[in-house]
Order: sequence, then C-alpha cells, then structure tokens
Amino acid sequence: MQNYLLSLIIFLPLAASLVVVLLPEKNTSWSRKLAIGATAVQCLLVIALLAGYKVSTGDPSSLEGFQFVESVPWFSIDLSALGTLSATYLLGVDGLSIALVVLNAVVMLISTIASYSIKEKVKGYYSLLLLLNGSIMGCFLALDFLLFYLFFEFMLLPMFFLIGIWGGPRREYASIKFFLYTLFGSLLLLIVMIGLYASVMDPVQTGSGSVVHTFNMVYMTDPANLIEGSLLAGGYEFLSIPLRMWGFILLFVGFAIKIPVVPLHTWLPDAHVEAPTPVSVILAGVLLKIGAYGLMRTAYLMFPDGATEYAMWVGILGVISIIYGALNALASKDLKRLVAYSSVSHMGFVLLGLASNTTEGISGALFQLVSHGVISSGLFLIAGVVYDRTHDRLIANYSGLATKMPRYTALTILFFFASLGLPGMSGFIAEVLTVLGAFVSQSVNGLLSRGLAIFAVIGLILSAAYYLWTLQRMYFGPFYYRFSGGDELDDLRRREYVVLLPLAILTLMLGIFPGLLLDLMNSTINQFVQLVNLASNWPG
Amino acid sequence: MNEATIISPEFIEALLMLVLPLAAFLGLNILPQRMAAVSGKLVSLVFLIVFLLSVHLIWMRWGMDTIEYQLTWFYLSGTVHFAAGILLDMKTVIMLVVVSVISLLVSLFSISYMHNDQDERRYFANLGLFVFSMIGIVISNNLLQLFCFWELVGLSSYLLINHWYRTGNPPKAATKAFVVNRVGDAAFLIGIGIAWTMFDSLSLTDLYSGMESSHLEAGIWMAGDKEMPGIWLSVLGICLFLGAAGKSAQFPFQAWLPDAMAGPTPVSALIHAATMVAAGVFLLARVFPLLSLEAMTFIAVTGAITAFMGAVAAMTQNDIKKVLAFSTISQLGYMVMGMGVGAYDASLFHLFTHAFFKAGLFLAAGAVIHAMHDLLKGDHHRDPQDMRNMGGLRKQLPVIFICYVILSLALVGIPFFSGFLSKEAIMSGSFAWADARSGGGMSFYHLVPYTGMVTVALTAYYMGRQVYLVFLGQPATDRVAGKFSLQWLMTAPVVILSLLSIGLIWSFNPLSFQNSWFFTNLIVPVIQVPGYPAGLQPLIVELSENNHLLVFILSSAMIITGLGLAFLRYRNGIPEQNRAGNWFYNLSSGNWWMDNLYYDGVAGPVKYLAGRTYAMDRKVIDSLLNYLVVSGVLFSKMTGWFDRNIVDGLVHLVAAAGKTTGSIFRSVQGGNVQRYVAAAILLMIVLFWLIY
Repeated sequence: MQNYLLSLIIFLPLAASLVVVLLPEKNTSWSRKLAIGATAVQCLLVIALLAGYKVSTGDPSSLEGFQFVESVPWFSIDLSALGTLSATYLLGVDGLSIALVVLNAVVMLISTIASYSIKEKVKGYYSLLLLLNGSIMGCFLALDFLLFYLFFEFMLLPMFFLIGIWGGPRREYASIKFFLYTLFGSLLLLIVMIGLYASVMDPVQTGSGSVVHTFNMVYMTDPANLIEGSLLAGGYEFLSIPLRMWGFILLFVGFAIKIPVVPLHTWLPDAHVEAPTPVSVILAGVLLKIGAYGLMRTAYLMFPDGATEYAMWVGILGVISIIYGALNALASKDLKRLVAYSSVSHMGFVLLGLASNTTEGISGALFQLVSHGVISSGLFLIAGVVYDRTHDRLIANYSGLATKMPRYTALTILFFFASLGLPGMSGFIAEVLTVLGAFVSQSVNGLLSRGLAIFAVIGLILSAAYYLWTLQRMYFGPFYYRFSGGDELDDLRRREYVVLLPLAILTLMLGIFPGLLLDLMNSTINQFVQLVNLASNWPG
Repeated sequence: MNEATIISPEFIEALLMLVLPLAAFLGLNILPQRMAAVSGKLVSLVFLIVFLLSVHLIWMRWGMDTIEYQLTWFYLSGTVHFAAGILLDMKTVIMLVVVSVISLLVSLFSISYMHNDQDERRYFANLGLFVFSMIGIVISNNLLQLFCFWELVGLSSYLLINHWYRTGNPPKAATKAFVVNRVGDAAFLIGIGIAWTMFDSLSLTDLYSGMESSHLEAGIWMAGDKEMPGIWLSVLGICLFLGAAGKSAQFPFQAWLPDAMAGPTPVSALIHAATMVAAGVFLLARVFPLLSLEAMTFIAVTGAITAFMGAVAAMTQNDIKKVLAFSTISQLGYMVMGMGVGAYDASLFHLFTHAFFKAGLFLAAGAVIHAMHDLLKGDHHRDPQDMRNMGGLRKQLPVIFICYVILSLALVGIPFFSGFLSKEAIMSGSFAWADARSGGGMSFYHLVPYTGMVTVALTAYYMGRQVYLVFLGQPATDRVAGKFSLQWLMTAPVVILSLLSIGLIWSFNPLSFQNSWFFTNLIVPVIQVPGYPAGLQPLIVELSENNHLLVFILSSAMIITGLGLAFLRYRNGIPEQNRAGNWFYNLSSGNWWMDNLYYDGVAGPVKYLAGRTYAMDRKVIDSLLNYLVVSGVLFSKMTGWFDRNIVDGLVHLVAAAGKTTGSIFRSVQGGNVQRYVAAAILLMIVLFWLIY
C-alpha cells in the first residue's frame, strides 16, 4: 500500500494557504488561527513520521535506503534519438533529511505563532507563510531533481514578498537583493541539473535499447547509471577543468549562496535586518539549511570526485566564513545584524565539517544544521522582543536591560551561551564534532589540514567575545535607554514565553542527549562518508 | 584499574554529590521571591550533605585502587562513541573533600555576608551551579566530559563575578574572565583533537595506556595504526596546559583574575582562590602521564614566571582583595611549576593547603570589608577595600586578626604551618629537577628554582605589608576606630580554615613534608611518554630527598628578608606616598602592563580588525557583488536599448531595404527573361565571391 504521509506533510500547508486566500477579508483572526492549526497538524504528522522512521536503514545511494517513499510517474516524453525524458513525483526520507523535516516543522510552528506582531495584510501574510512552509518541506523530501528544483525555485516567491511587503524601511532593496542572489544560484543549479539529466539513465527502464533519462536524484548518486560518453561521464573539459569538476563547482556555488558562504553572503545581513522577526526566524532557522542539505544531497553524493578534489578549498571557505562572520558580528552595531553575521560564522562550521568527510565532521555538520536552526530562531526572537517594544535595535542605545527585564535577560543569556557553544547545549556538540572531524581528517583521509581546525577554534573565542560584549553593553550596567525612561520595556509577555521556551528546552535537550538526534542520522552519515570516500569509482 | 561493570555505592555517592548542587541551582531558580531569605540555608544544607558524602567517600576509598565507571554518552557509529563516566582515585576523593568543605564554609559565611542583598537567591543558586560544575571536573573520567564541566565552571564564574551587574565594572570583569578563559579552552580543544586522533578515545585511562604503548620512530609519533609528526606529542601537552593556564591564571592569561575580584568576596574565596583556579592544576595532575619532556619544561618555566610576576604585582596593590588575587596567581604559579618539574605530589599538596589558607584569607578579607562598610557608612569618598583607609583593625576584629596572621604565616611558608610543608616540597622538587636536567653543574634550568626562591621573599614582603596596613599601625580616620562586632557566622568559617592551616593537621612532624599522611598516599604516576628519559623521574626523587636542608636554609633566609623589609618600611605609621614616577611602582601596581597587553595588544587590534572587515564587507564585497548585479541590470538595460534602437533600427532598415530591393526584384520578375537570367548570374557571382 502506498503511504501518503510525506505528500500530506507537503500539501497540507499548501492547501491551507489556498483556504486562507479564500477566507473573507474582514475576519483576519481566522487566517491566523487556520495557519497555526495547519502548522500544528503538520507537526503532528511529522511526529507520526518520526514514530514510523526506522533508524537501521540509510544508504542514500539506493532507494532502499529511503523510507516512506512515494513514487508516481509524472511525465515521460519520447524524444526518439535523444532517448526518453522522464520525471517522477518521488518523495522519500532518510537520515540526511529526517532531522531537517522535524526542524522545519518546529521552526514553522514557532514562527507562525510568533507572527502576532503582523498587523497589516494579515491574510496575505499567512497564506504566503504557509506556501513557504510547503515548498521548504518539498525541498527536503523531494528525490527527483526536477521536483526539488521546482520547490527550490518556488520557495523564492513567498520569501521575496514576505520581506518586500512586511519588512523594515529598506525592505525593497533587501528583498530584491535576496531574490537576485538566490536566482543566480538557482541558475547554476539548473545548468548542472540539465547536464546530469543528459548523463544519467534510469537503470530499471533502460535496457531494451532506448536510453531512459531520469531526474531521479538517487540514481544520480550511482556511477553505474552514467551513460557512457555522456557529458558528465568523464572525458570532457571546459577551460581545461573536467566537466565533472564543473558540476561540483556550479552546484557548490549555487548552494553556497544559500548557506551563505563568504564572500557570497552579503544578501543575508540585509535580508535579516529588514525581514520581520518571524520571517528572520524561518530564514535563519530553515532556509539556510536547504543550502547545506542540497550540497550534501547533490554536490557531495553526485560528484564525490569533486568533493574530495576541492575539499581543502571548501574547508578554507568554511574557516573564512567562521572567522569573517565572527569579526563582522563583533563590529555590528545592530543586534539583528550581529545575529545575522553570527549565522554566517556558525554555518561556516557546517562547511568545515562537510569538507572533512569524516564521521565526526559530517555528524557535526548535520548536528549544527539542526542546532543552529533552533538557536538562531531563538536569537532572532530575542532580538525581536526588544524591537517590538521600541522599534530600535541599536546596541549602543541601550544599557542595563537586565534591571528592567530580568527574565528576558535570563533567556538572552541562555541563547547567547548556547550560540557561543557552551556545553550542555546543542551548539557545543555540533562545534566539537566539527572541530574534531576537521582535525582528524588529515590522519584519516588526508582531505584537510589540521591547521584548519586550529583556525576554526579562533571562531569559538570570537563568538564568546561578541556575545559577552553585547551582554555587557546592552544588558548589564546601569539602566539607560536613549529615547525614553524605558517604561515600554516591560519583561517577557506570555506569548513570548510560548515561542522562546520550547526552543530553549530543545537546545538543552539536544545538548545533554545528543543521541536523540544522532541516532536518527548515524547510519546514513556513515554510508555517506563511505560513498564520498569512494570517489575513485567515478570516471574522469 | 578496575573498571566496574555494575554501579557501586561509591559511584552513586559521587553522582549524588554532583546532582544535589544542580538540584539546588534549579530549585532556587523556581523558588518564589518571597522565600528568598531561606535560599542561603537551603544551599548550605545541600553543601553539608555533599560534604558528609565526600567524607564517607574518602573513608571508603582511602588507600584503595583507582576505580572507574563509564557508560556511553552518544554514538556516532557502531565503533565511534563518546563516553560519560566517573574516575575515583586518591586525588579525586581528597579534592572532593576540599571542594565541599570550602563551599560549605563559604555558603555559611555568605548567609551573613549576602544578607540584605536584593539578589540573594540568584547568588546562592549560582553557587550551587558552581559546585555542580566543579565536582563534575573532579570526577570526570574523560577529557570531553571534563571539558564540558570546565566550561560550565567558566559560566558559573561569569555569573558570580557579574552578580552586581547594575554597575559598570563587574560585567566588564566577567566578560574579560570568560573570554580570556575561552582562549585557553580553545587550545584545550585542540589538545582533545590530538588525543582523539591518536587514541580514538578520550577516556583518561585509555589515554594513559595508549601513550604508554605509543612510540617515536624517526620523528614520527605512532600509536597503533595512527601516526603524527613527533612535534604533536609536545603540542598535546602544551595545548592541555594552555587550557589549564587559562583557568589557573598563568602567564600570559593572568590578567583576568585581579579583575574578577569585582564579584562578592566569598565568591573570590571559593572560586578565584581555592577551587576553580586550582582546577587547572588538577587538570595537569589528570593528564600528567601524557606530558612530554618539552611540555613539562614549558610548564615549569611558565609557572616560575607566573609565580614571580604575581608576587611582584602584589607588592604595591592598595586594594585588600587585589593583594590576595595577585598572591593567588603567584601561588598557582608555584603549583604549575611543581607539576612541570615533576613534583606531582608536592604540587597537589600545595593545591590543597593553599585552598584552605587562601579561602581563609579571602573570607577574613571579606569580614574586614564588611566591617569597613559599616565603619565608613556615610563616607562615600573612601573605598572600604582600600588598605590605606584601614589600619589598627586588630581592635575591632581581634579574632579575624589572629586568624589572618596564622593564615598569612601559612602562605608565607613559616615552619609549623601548612604552607611551609607544601612549598618546601615544591622548592625541593624544583632544585632536584634543575640539578637532574643540568647533569650536575649549573644551567638555565636553575633559573626556575631560584625564581621560586626570590618569590618566597616577595611573598613574605607583601603579606607582611598587608598585615601592617590592615591590622597594625594607626587607624586612617576616626571612623575606622569606631565600634564594630562581627557575626559568628562570619567568624567561624575563618577560624576553621585557620585551624586547617596549621602544620600538625597535615603532618605528624610539622617540619618534614615527607612524614605527611598526605604524601604517603599520593602515588606519583610514572611518565611513559615516548622520548621521556626513563631514569629522570627516579633521579629527581632521589635528589630531592637530599636537598631539604639547603632549601630550608635558603627559604628561611628569604622569608626573614621579606618580612624584615616589610617591617622596616611600614613600622612607623602611614608609609604610602604617591610614587607614580617610579618605574618599579608602575610595573608592579600595573601588573606588568598585562592589561595593556590585553586591551591594546589583543582586544584593540581585534576590534580594529573587526571594524575593517565590517567596512570591507559593506564597501568592497557587497558593492562588488552589487556591481555585478547592477551591471547585470545595466547589461539588460543596454540590451534593451540595443533592442529598441539598433535591432529595431536594423529591422526597419532591413524593411526599408526590402522595399527598395523588392521593387528591383519586382522589376526583375516582371521584366524580360534576359534581364532575369543576367540578374541570376550576377547573384551567383556575388555569392561565389562572398564564399571564396
């Protein structure tokens, strides 16, 4: 019997989005209730998914490694001499995606609840939010490249409007910037996708003479499915770099924009500063993760030869992001911009872990995706609390907030320390695993130099510096607010607890019992490491 | 090593000691504000239970073998996993007693000291968090878990220094303490990385045995199928030491400790004198069998430098707590030096004796500050911590005065007091080490013990000076001569700690540390790091057994000199004048410009660099990318213009041309055949001419 759970998870918010659009204009609270309801139900579905998920399987290079697979032929066009063009509606979940699906459900629910400060065009807002939700889920669950690409592109639109309509003063600039950058990235993906399509065959349907081309991402990870003599089967070069290497480079750059990797990151601080709080939460909490997920699912699994060839460069970019992001955070005068740059820094760890291709490094990278998703969501909500009250986020305008808002300060301390990697919270596990992975790589597979790990820990020092300096300037000392006596700065409200506490509990739980998350991913990660290490199986 | 498979009562007790303070921390955080007044008593009760447990534990484990309990924390794969566990050996159980005694006394003292503080509850909660993390460090059986508690100790220290956050100074000090510690922690993490690379485990017992079976071959360090260049063997030791140096305020990280005095004084006693700062030395004891010869030398030299620098800085401080803070740095330097010269047992001994007398000194200083606050009430111009405002306090605080003298004598290292025993042991070990390393004659290695000796004189000087300024001489103002009586809850802990600083408690023969019950029960681990000379350790032990008299005479001379100078200088009244022009005064009171190093040498340039990168991010990278995007847009504009004007124009042109040519062709088609054929031939010729 076919299992429709994954489709439900994707299409429930999309359907709800449609319903929100059709709701009568005057009753805006309905759309909020409906959006929260739909996201909550989606969360329950994800819990059901988690309950049914078996941790024992997990080879990402064969369909058997996936669970809850749904496969429906989508379209198939006979191109006579060129073979058959076929795309499938193919969904499935494995150790790489399961944690991110859960993360997306949680972050979406929290940001939907946290949208209380949205007062204008409420209907449109919630319908776009639901649209975004569904397309992000689609990205994590699609196993057909065309389908993935569709969801990936589709994600852009709601995000563009969410920043462009409900954003801050420079929202148009920020949203167009975001749009152009991401569009540029997806063009690169498109090129590689077409190349892959032309080079990979469907091993099941091919055989009786005519070659059946496929967009199946799982088939693309097996060198046996490469069509002999095709573009990506080795042998072709462009500017004296083999086409297979170009495949890796283009995918890397395409997804690097999304992660974002320095120097392609400059859309991020602007988008974050201008976006309304809940949209920032989604942006940092899940949207950036798609970049890293895509990198793993496509660039690393389909071009492991490129991944090992350029590992050192990827690692160096990771370390540059870590340090560069941290330095920029240190110099940021706006609390939200600081958090945005800290995201750049923390996503650098993901890149470093990926580059190492060790069990520690990949586990660390995936753990960091989830951990950063939880912590950065919390951090943006923390920044939003002050912004809601004063519409002012400049660090220098405040001092001694702890006196007026002790509980808020306590939670701020918790999230700041979580983000700077304090043991007992999730960020620590992720960063320690990444650093260990980067360090052992030289002895295990020779991909990275130990020096990278040594530079990476400088990031840990800098993150302590910018967070504690912020605490010192903004939260401690005698109370002062530049524009008033501070009467509007009341302590946390109930709905703020509702969104902040679950995230705080999650980061503590993952920090103390990392097995909760790692057990879901272990088997896939180990297969992943082996697959990438078998780069020599690939031609070229 | 017996690895227990089932959890025995010892482990349950150790676990309880860990969990109870954590429960106190969590409990106090949800305690209603109106019950805040009981928080001190609640925490003291918890600490009392922890103390009783530690006594029972030492009773059970006395003279026994090391035991270990471990389970898996989390897996990465079937074979790769990280463990959590408890390691109980002699130094662990003794350290547990020391930590729990001092935390109990400090929490009792705090009930009175922190009475009326508006954040009393938060204070005691954080005290619970600290004890939890500290006990965690002590009982951890592997480096990762130890590192976790290590950083949690940093957090609780941060929170406690920051207790009075409403003024500007404590937050600054707390930030500085945490960030400087983070630098050491980063190095620690690299050390963990090296251990993990070579031994695939972070369990201490695995590391000991792995190190023993590893070997150096042609400059390559090999363990099993793993290998690294030999240099990493020493880097491992130095990285772990840098971690220790951060917590233990060793050169060049010492600048955070004097600032940390911005926290409440009982906190200074517990954390920044007795336990947390000693955690670095405890870590060195834990990883002692992993330290290479070069790493040990590095440690010994750093320790000696720190001991000397701290003592010099303590000589001219005017704040009563700052003197003790610099003294702590100096004494920690001794301990580190002791570890470096291989005097493992002596160093641990000094850790324990120092914990008691320094905690005592800080609590006594707390009592003095408390009294000064009371005496100077209404006088906002005078700092109650400035020793120049004190004088003659022996009359108001007679018991504290006697205790202070006893504790100071222990610190200075006078025979019959605990400090004498432990410091003698370190000095004797360091002379033996220098002799052994230089093979008979004199060499650079001797700078270490001689620096230690000079520091003995400096120690005697600054403690003599402090006792003079605070308790002897004349009161600085009439107010200070007023009436004051101290609560017993503040006196009793100081008295107990003074009693624990008397030599007889530690050794039946208070003149000889080797008769100490303590020494006979601490077994020095045999270093089996590849490349470490096999005969060196026994040689040091042998030499140190024969140099007691020399060390005794030398250090007595030093103490007499130091105390004598202090006496000569401070016997008649108020001696402190403005000496701002004196270079030595500037160097000492400014702590060797270490703060300048921290602010102008590191923090400033980093901030500058951050500012530059920030500007670069906006101006260069962003605008470059924007130009790309804008040029893309421009390009499309240009193509648009091109489209409108050139392409359209061309089309029009072609159309116009078409009209003309069309009329020609029309005439061709419509004309006679000859003209038609002629035109075709002409066209053919043109085409041929074009192609060839």
